[in-house]
Amino acid sequence: MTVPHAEEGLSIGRAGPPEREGRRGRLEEQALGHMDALYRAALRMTKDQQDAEDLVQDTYLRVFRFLDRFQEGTNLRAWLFKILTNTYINTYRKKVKEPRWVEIDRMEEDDVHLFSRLQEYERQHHLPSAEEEFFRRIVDEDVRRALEGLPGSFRLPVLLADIEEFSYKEIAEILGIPMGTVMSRLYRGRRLLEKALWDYAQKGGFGAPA
Amino acid sequence: MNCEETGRYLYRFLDRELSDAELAEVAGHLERCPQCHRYFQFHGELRLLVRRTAATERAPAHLRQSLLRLRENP
Repeated sequence: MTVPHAEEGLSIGRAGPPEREGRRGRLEEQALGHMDALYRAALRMTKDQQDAEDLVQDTYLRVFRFLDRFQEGTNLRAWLFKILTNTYINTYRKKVKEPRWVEIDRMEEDDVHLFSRLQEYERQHHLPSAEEEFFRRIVDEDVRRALEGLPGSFRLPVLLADIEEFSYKEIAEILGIPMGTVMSRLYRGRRLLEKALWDYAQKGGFGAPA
Repeated sequence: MNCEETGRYLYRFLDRELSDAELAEVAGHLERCPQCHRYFQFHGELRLLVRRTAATERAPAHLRQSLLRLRENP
C-alpha cells in the first residue's frame, strides 16, 4: 500500500513522487513568472538597485522555502507580494530614515488639489488645456522619483494599488492592516504624489512663457 | 448626486471599488457634467501615466540567472 505523500505534503526533496514534483515545478515556474513585478516594487521600496536585487533574492529564498504551504488555486501574486513586503519591512526598512509624523502632518497644510490648480492656471492664462501642458512637463523619471519620495507607509499602498492593481482587500491582506487604513493611506499618498508631480511640472517649465 | 459628492468617489472609481449602484450614480453624473467628466478624465490619464512609467522595468539578466540557480540549489 502506498502512502499518499502528496496529500500529506511531506517535504522529501527532489526524490518526491512524480505528481508532487510536477506540481512543485509548476508552482516554481509561476512564482518566477512574477519576478519583474517583484523587482519593480523592490526598486520603489528600496530606491537602490543593489538593495532591490538583494530584496528580491531574499524574497525568493523564502518563497521556495515556504512554497509547499501555498494552496494552489489561491492568489499566488498576493502571496508573493506579502512575502516581499514582509521581507522589506523586517530587513530593509530599518535602514531608511523616514520623515517623522510631525513633518507628515505639516505636509497636509500644503495639500495640493492638482486639478484645481490646473484649472486656475488655465483661467488666468487663457489656456485651452492646462492638463495637456501639465503632461508635457513631466517625464517618466519624475514619476519614479515622485513615487520614491513618498514616505514608506504611503508608498507601499500606492505601489500595490496604482502599479500592481491589487484590490483594497488584497492590499489589506498583503500589508496586514485594515481596509479603512488602506483607503486613507491611498488618499493621502496620492495627494502627496500629485503635489510632487506638480512641483516637477513647474521645474519642467509648466507656466513658463512660451 | 452633485459635483462634490461625485468628486469624493474619484479614487474608488479609478480603483474599480464601487458597487454597481454607486458606479451607475457616478457615471450618470459624469454624463451630465462636463466639468466633473474632465476632472475624472484627467485623473484617469494621470493614473495610466503613473502605471506606465513605473511598470516597465525588468529584472536584470544576472538577477534572473541567480534566481534560477536558487531554485536548483535551495
